[in-house]
Amino acid sequence: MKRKNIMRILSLATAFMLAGCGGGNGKDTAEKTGDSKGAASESQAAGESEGEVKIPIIITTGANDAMDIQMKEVVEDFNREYKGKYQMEVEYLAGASDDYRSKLKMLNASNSLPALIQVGPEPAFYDLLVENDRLVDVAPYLEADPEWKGQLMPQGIEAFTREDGKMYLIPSAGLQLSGFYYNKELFEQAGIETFPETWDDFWKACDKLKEAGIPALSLHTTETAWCPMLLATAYLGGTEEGQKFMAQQFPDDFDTPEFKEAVEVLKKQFDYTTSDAVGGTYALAANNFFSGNTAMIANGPWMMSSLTDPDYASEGFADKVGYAKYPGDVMIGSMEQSSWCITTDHGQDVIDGAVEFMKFYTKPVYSTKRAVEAGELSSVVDFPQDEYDKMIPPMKNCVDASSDVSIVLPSYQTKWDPVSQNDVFGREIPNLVSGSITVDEFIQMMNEGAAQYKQDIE
Amino acid sequence: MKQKNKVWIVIFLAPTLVMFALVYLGPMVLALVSSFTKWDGMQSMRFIGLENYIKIFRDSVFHAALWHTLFWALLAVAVHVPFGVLVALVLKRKRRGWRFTRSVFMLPNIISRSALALMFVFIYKPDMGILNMLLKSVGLEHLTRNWLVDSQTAFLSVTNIWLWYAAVITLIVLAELSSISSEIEDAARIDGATARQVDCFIYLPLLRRAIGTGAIVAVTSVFKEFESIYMTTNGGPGDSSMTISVMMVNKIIQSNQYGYANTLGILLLVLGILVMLFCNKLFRMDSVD
Repeated sequence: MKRKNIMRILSLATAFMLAGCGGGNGKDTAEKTGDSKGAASESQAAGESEGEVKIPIIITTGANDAMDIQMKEVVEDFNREYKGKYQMEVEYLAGASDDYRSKLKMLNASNSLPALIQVGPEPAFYDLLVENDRLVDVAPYLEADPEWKGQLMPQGIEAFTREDGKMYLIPSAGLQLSGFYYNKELFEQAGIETFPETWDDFWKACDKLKEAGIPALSLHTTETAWCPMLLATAYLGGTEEGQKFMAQQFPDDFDTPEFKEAVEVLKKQFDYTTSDAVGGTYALAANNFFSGNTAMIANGPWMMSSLTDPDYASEGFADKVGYAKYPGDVMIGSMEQSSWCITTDHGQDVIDGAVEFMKFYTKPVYSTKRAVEAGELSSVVDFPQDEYDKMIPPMKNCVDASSDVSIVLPSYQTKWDPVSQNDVFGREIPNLVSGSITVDEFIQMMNEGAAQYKQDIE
Repeated sequence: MKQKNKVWIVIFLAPTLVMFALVYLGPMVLALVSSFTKWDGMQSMRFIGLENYIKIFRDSVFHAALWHTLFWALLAVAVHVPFGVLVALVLKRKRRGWRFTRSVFMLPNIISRSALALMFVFIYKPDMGILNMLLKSVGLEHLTRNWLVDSQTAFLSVTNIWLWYAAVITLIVLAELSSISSEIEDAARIDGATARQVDCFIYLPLLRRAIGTGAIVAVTSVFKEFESIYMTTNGGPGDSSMTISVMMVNKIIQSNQYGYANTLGILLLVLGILVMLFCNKLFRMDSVD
């Protein structure tokens, strides 16, 4: 039904992403990685190896992410269907994406990464893995199976194909766009009728909520300050310069008028939040929203599953929630964030199994399920009308908003260097909020972080 | 006979030495070698001489981390150890309830440091935390704050997680106290010495080596203390609670700087050796009574 619109937003998204993400640091690794075309054909011959091949993977359970819940189901189906040949060996990690990334880095130190990993939000780590031949070039596998290739986002294939024709990230079938969850009941209590569409109206709404004694925003400062940073970077979508800034891979100069305004927005948000936001975790921020303490939280559709989960929200809570674009007709999403890589830490039989699993994972039946349950919208997967009718209100809002958005920005996590993200965001945002450091000092630290990262990789 | 003894000595020592070489010495040598290299943990090491060391001494984060680590070492010797000794001397008197007190004092020892740190996260919570609620209930609302996130209080709040749990020191001292003959105290009492005088002028000098051992244990323990910071402030806000061990792990997890992190590790090792030598000297560990 909304196919045309979905196609439109995905094309827009690609326009931004092509600017910097696909090729990683663009270094040619042709000499190092060897020819995997041969590996692909060899692997097909070796596919009938004896015994069940175990394919290690880590799935997080801490954030109740809709994508993780779905992955668990796909794994169970795969293990049933390939019983005796392949088995996905799952390690369930009781943490969120931040813990997952830390765990990968620790496993990397001992060359024991799982066979399938997600490193999209860690572009520097991804580059390092590529440079060191730790990821499998999947391009030959895709070329050898046109049916599978047709099930993946064409924009993703284009963006992830490097200059040398190699591809280390397997594109997903769709793209998730983050926006604002808002509590309609609390909005009503504060006398706000519709979700604000401009930044001026947004701050007015925050003031109204504050006057009504309701903390407007669910925020936190740990884990690279995901929720407040989404809002701050969404602000950059308001100008062409800001959009260009967000398209840069590893920017080294944060001292721009646009970014300065974004940092002001970052600081201002904390005037409208709960007292536990500074120093708080994402889980705490989400819990404040689910328990009706706050009126809004910036996040992606992967959080939808928690709205109807009795462990997280009360019964009927989902009906009170709406989902909207950020002010200024902006949404945020990066294909890298839900893309998978296959590692070279295991034998060829495991690599074959991992490829087989990815083919299974991106089957239309599962892609449709992901679109419906996790908002991973796709131009290559049908979105049945009857499924739309059955959706909870915020998911309907999400599909509608994603289908009609003007500006899609990439996530800062996939764009900025790890030093700025971890050292500066992780530790300096509390100082920024308390006034211990100024906006200019914060920007200076971002620049120093970016310079240090450049120096580190030289 | 002597030759036979030597063989047995070698046989008994060999497993320990082999394990030490594999588990400790090997990694230490690797850390030392890689501290002179640029190494991301994947590509081969590139020799850069003393560059990491020069960089570290110019790094303002390291200055903060070094200061905090040394301050912790000082607190360990000046507060943590004396507190543990004091508890041991009190327990030695076996006053009413001493068994209960001993058990309660030992309890935190069976709780992992991570769990303990997490408990303190809840104690320090700005809105629902016990500490702020307590302050509010006694009319000291003006003193309430976000303890772990305020750069004025973060470091001391984390310090409080380990500072008073001196059960290991108490155990070491109690063991030493039990080996001192009660006749010495009886003789002093007959001569008119008070309990405080017995503690100060008889037990404390006799406990010198046990206290020295306790000091070394306490200082090396705070040097490698990681969980209580990682689980609470992760070194922040800013660098206000950064220590060398946290900085070392962050360099690996966040930016794959294995060479730089190992340089920090070597400096920590050197610092540990220096402190041990200092404690040996201070408590005259090698001298004969």
